[in-house]
Amino acid sequence: MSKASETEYWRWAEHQWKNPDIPDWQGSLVTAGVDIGSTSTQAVIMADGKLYAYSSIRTGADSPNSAIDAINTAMEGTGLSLPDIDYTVGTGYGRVNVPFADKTVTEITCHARGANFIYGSGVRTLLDMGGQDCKAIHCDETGKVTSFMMNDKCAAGTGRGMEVIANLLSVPIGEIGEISLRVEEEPEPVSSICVIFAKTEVTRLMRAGWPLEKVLASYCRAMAIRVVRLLERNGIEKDFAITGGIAKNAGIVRRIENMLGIEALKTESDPQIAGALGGALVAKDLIEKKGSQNFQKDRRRVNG
Amino acid sequence: MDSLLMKSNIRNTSIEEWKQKGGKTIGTICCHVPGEIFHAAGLLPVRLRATGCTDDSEGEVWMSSFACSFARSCFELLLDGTYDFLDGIVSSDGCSMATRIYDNYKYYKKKEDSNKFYLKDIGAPRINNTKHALPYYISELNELKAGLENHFGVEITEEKLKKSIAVFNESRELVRELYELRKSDAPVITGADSLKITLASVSMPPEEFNAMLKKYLAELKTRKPLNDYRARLMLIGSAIDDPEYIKVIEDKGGLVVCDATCYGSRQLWEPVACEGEAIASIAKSYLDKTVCPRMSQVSTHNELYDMIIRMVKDFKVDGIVYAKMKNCQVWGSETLYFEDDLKAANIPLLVVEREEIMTNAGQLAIRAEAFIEMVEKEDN
Amino acid sequence: MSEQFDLIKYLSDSVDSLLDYMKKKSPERLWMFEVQKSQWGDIYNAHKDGKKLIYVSACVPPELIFAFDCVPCLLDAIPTRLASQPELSSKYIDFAEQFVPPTMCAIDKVDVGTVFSGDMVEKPDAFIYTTYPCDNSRAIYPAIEKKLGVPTFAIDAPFRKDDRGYRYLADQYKDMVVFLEELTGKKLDWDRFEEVMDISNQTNILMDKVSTLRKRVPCPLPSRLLILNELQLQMIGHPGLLKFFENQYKVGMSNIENGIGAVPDEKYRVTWLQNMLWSNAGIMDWMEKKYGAVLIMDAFGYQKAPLFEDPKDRERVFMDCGRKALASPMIHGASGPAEIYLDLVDQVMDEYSINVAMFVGHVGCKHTWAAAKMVKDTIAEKYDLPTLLMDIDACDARYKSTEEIKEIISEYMESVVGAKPIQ
Repeated sequence: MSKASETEYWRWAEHQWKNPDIPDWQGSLVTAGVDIGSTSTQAVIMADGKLYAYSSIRTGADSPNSAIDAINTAMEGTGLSLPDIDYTVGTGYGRVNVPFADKTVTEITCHARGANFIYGSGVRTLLDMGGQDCKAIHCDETGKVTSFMMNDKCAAGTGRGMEVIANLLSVPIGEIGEISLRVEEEPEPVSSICVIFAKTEVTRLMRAGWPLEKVLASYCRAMAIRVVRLLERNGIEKDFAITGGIAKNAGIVRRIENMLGIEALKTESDPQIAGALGGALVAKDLIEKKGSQNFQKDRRRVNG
Repeated sequence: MDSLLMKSNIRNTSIEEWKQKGGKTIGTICCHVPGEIFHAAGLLPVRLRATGCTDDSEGEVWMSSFACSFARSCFELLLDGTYDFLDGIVSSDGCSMATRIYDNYKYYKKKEDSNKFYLKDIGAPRINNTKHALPYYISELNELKAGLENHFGVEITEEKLKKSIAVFNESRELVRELYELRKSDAPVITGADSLKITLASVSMPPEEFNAMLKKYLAELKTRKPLNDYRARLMLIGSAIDDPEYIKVIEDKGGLVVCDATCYGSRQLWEPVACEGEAIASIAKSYLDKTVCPRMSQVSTHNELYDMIIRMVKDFKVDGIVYAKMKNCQVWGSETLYFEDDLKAANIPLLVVEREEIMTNAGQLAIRAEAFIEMVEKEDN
Repeated sequence: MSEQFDLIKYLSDSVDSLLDYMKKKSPERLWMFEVQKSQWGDIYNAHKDGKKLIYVSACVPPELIFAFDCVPCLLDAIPTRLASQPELSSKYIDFAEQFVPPTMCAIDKVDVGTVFSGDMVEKPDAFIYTTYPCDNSRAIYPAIEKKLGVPTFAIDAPFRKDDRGYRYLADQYKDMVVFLEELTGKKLDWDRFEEVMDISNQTNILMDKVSTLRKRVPCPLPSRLLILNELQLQMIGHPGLLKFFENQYKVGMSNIENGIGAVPDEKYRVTWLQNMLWSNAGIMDWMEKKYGAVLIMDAFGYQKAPLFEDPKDRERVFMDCGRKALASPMIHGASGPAEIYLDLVDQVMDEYSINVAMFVGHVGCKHTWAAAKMVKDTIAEKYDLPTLLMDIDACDARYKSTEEIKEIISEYMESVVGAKPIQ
């Protein structure tokens, strides 16, 4: 039976971007970062430390293929092929599955570097809300991690949690934040944020006559409370920035800002690429340190 | 015949041999139950632990999900036959959970209605700088001594005690040598293997342990140094009896060079100074030297902190991994005491929550790896 | 800049308001609240009254503190008092969770929160703590000592409740006297101490009499009054507490004479086998109304206390202090070997003719949860009764809602006990 007619509310737009101001990569030091997350995969290509191209796609069932798809999508229209990339860092949940990576580095290190690039050297506190975990990260002016704390125990406050809500309420995931902000009065946060009980909770609230925006507001508020706790435990210092997919959810971001009394830095770039971008920067550091002549590529082979 | 590292298994060939010879074994709970006393009685003391436990559901039925998983797992192993070689259990009130392992097991054993299994709990002071603490503890130990003599029909003489003290001191001396090797810039042993050795020290006859460790140390000194690590780490926190846990960290490149943990370094530092009566000497040593946060006094927390700082310096530690067992208050609250001081001293700290049964090594691995990336020296 | 919140002032002022209200509304119940004035009012006014304020933990003999004319402030009394005010208790709990694990007992989280937040504005003159009741308190007291930076005396509580244990405490209490003499600059006034011991004995005798009243079927006193038994820990020896129990006994006797029970028709005699549900005391009233189920006695609550056998025997009084300390509420069951807890449970079930057993289990009290199966099995074996095991947080109402608690108890009462709601 075909499911083509079923709307996939959780599906966000995959996309690809190429820097119009860099006409040609020839002669540059080309590095790449590939961030394989549980829900999304990004590939970022930098030329001489400048953002050249990137892609953001949904992570498929096969991580190595997701990595290859992502880099291919990023390379579209650039004339690049894999051997042209001088050094690649794999990061994220599936980092060991980037077949062409020269090194793997954790997403914690990469997000901090990426945030430093995107938001500037003033960033000290970073919140990464990823596919299935959140991280509170402290970094210095160079984007080096000085401390971090993770919450990977459950899906609440993560991309996966958001997808469940989107499906339950039949709301396209990209609209959740905006709708949640339509409430006039902020409701109480949901009592149980657990994604396993989401269906019961949502049903209960709808039955009690809650309009859609109130239900979404209640969830966003509960998720925001959770991540604020994580941030507070790790300590908060200005400037504050958010990376990861959920940085695009204004409903969560605004609530976090209100609770902290601090505004998060905003960016024109896509905050979801921070990990891969950081990977590309780390790649640049590593190859410059080694010196390009003595550098030995340590490419992994694709299995099968 | 198990190698020294294999003696870290709860059931190992030394235990089997001991049993075959008709030897009796006592399981001990917590640091304030001195092994010397059992040894002097001709008994084999083994420290109760949960190494290798994969399921604690029965333990949870008895001890509830609010108990720490270490205690639940120990109890599980008491129930599932792993410890059926024991002839008795002696516990001290290290923490309330330790007490409950004993209490529940005693209750469980009631239905056997046999007096063969020796059960005893002793109290150990939590404040050691009053003039009453030592006499109190001595009287508890004397009561234990008398109980053992009575139950097993043996006499624990001064001479036997002094001999036992000497044997246990030798173990401590040898473990110190092992740790000295780990200070080196070119270390030859992993933290996981070192833990296996210290676990072995509480799982087999000490004379045999001493002989085996001597040989092992001689061989160690000839080994090529480990060179595939990225950072030197110190491990602190609630009882860690699982070498696999350390292996997860070391597989990411974080070599564990030292620790302040119960089954690792802490138990084996200071020797028992034998001055005068043996029980009194044992009591004094165990009361003074055991730097465990179970002690409820500022001086111990200061001592613990000083010890950590000293080890960071001596072992050239790049960062500290602080493993907090879930539901553990004893070790769980050290943040209150030293987090600010460690920050001021620029010593990186990674706090991880731990369960006895490692269901998701990935969670530890990612944190360890990120921490290693954070602390590794530039020239690596 | 916002003004520093003074928690003790707030508690003292709250009692004053409450008393004013009660004077107008129901003066016959004034006696239940006047004792709280003795508690918080004395603490707030200690320095004004020229007395030394001493923070204490459980097992510090209040009689000795009163004998030196000092005012004890039992740190643990604050979380139980604030439990009914979630906006305050949650403030301190959340604050403490920056430093201590969230699984720590909320009583100790609030202790840490109140001291470390600065809301305990008036600094005490000294801090005396013991290593009871549990790991949670042992973990935080030295930190509180460091934070307060005032002269501190630490007492090691013994593992077992026997003569060696009482002697161990007695010796340390004698040292505590020396500490207090140095603190106050005065020698222990034995006449004053004897007076206080006398009041303490009278109070304990009355408490025992009140408990005995509760053994009657039907129980003549409401469930709620059990909560205030814990005042003993801080106020035994204070005339205010004596007056409180005199009144309670009078009311109990009068109820018996008039054939009044805690409820019109007592159907069930309940025991709660662990901590008091301070965060939701209303549940007791609701149980009375819905099922005619009266909470007759709580296992952690007051039980028969040893008396000062001979206040003039200057050696024995310290041993008696030790006996009393180890028999005090919560301490007697929660600390030390589980066997004592099981004996206590057996005693309560038997003496109070209990027919409904509930382990209303505060989640922070992990080591009593680790004895819950033994408790349940003991009751099943000896009394052929089941036991409800319910996890709650006795000081953090956010853990479980009132609705949920009521649902669980209703389900148990109706499906297992066979109770029918009173129409």
